[in-house]
Amino acid sequence: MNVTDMDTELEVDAATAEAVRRRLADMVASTAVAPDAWDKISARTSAASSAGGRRRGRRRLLVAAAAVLLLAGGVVVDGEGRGGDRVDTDTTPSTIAEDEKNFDDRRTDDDADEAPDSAEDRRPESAPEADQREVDPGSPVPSADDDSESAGSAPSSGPGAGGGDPSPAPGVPGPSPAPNPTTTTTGSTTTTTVPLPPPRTPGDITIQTSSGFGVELVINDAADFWERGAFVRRTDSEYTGDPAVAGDGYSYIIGFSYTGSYPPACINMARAASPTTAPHTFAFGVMGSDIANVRVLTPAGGSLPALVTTRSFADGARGWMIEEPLKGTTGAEGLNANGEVVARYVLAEGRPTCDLATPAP
Amino acid sequence: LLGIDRGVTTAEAERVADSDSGESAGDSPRVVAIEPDGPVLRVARSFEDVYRASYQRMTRVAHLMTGSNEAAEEIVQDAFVALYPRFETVDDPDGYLYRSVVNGCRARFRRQQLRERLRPLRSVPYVAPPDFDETWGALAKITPRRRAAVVLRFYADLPLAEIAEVLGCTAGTVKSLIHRGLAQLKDVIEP
Repeated sequence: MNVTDMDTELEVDAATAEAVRRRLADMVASTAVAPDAWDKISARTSAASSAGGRRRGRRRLLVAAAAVLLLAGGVVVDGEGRGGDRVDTDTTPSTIAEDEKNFDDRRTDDDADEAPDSAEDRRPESAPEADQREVDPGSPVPSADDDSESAGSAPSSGPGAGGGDPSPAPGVPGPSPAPNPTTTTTGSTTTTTVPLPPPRTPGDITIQTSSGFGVELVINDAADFWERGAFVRRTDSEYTGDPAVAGDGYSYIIGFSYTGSYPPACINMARAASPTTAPHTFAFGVMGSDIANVRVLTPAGGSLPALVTTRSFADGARGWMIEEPLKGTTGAEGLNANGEVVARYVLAEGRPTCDLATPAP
Repeated sequence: LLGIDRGVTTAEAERVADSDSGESAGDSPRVVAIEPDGPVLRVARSFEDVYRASYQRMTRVAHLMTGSNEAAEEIVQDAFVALYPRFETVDDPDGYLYRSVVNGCRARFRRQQLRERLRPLRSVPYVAPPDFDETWGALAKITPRRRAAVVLRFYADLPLAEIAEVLGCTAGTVKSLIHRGLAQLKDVIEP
């Protein structure tokens, strides 16, 4: 960052600016950082994770209660709310009374586990002051004269809104991605519940490699601005229980966010490669609504047609992907419905050239 | 635990993508943001990395805005705790922290004002003033919003656009805040 340029942009007297800088630096030269700061943060984030676990535990408890009361056949459903659990049960039914009694016993145990939270435990459940007043970049812009301390300066849920379960901080236990099977014996009935991971989001483009594994591009046209995007992953990727950006909990190779409003006659391009896909590399991107097909360009001057998603984002933009040839690619071209090249992306330039068919005004 | 760092250039994204195709590459997910100017790779960074890189800087910024080292640490720790559950989806952890810290400082200022107003009405425990410092003495005289603009510009060296994002206003408003803040400081802080 060129400070001098910025000061010029600000039209601030250089001597004054320098003096302010020096005074500010002097003032905080003695700022101390508590040696246990990280421990305090870890403790509080750990408490937040525990609180989330307790909430999930309550949901499971309620669903289990409903299952016991309705089915009365010794079946207990682990209610993660995802509908993907497999339930195994033996063929010896118990009585409703027995189930209710045992359920009451379990509830008592669970309640005991949940009981009295310390003040520190409860703290993360109520958003901290800093969080409540986060500035929303998309909020109405105040006037140039607005330097008051009014509520207009503030805040919304911010960029992180809509995120999934938090992952553990270093040294902090987090949610278990794949709960272990549980066995419950109620009277003469033995019930084994085997929680399964949520169903995978189906791929919009799937490419089978010569190495035996497949790679897929998955579009996530979420209404939530911050979750909208897509990701590339192996078709046999494993459930990690760690929803990442635009993901559904299955590990991915690369993901991208798509904020929308992409120019209609434009394409974007990036490459996905990782040790898990070696030696294969994939080119992928987003294409505007006016683009019908995409082809990648080879160093020898040829081209290869890419696969295009059927589904689109709300603005009509779609995704495309192709496995790169061994010698790589130099870029890609977007073609309209008439087969005309209307957009180009040259990797060496690092940016797209759009609206090629539209004469400059 | 992975987060998303600031965007890097497309050239760097390509370099990383190329290097990742080799055997020595790490297995960390990367995120490409599809932006109007092209895809931007964002390199994963852990929460602890962000803590190590930013905690002290944020504490100093908060110190400059509150005049109290102790209050600064409390506010910054609140900001990190607020960031934690959103870490994987926050696009710019530093920006998030700056916003949280600035808002935390301003909230503290509002609470102090409320205490001042209530003091004559009912007994409120006395709140010790911030550690005295000549610079703070000058900073304390300007409004928190102007103070934030001055601190973010002249201590944190943030560009106008980022300050505008942190404060939730336009770059023009930031210029105005800085000019007015400096005008008030100028009498105290002589070049």
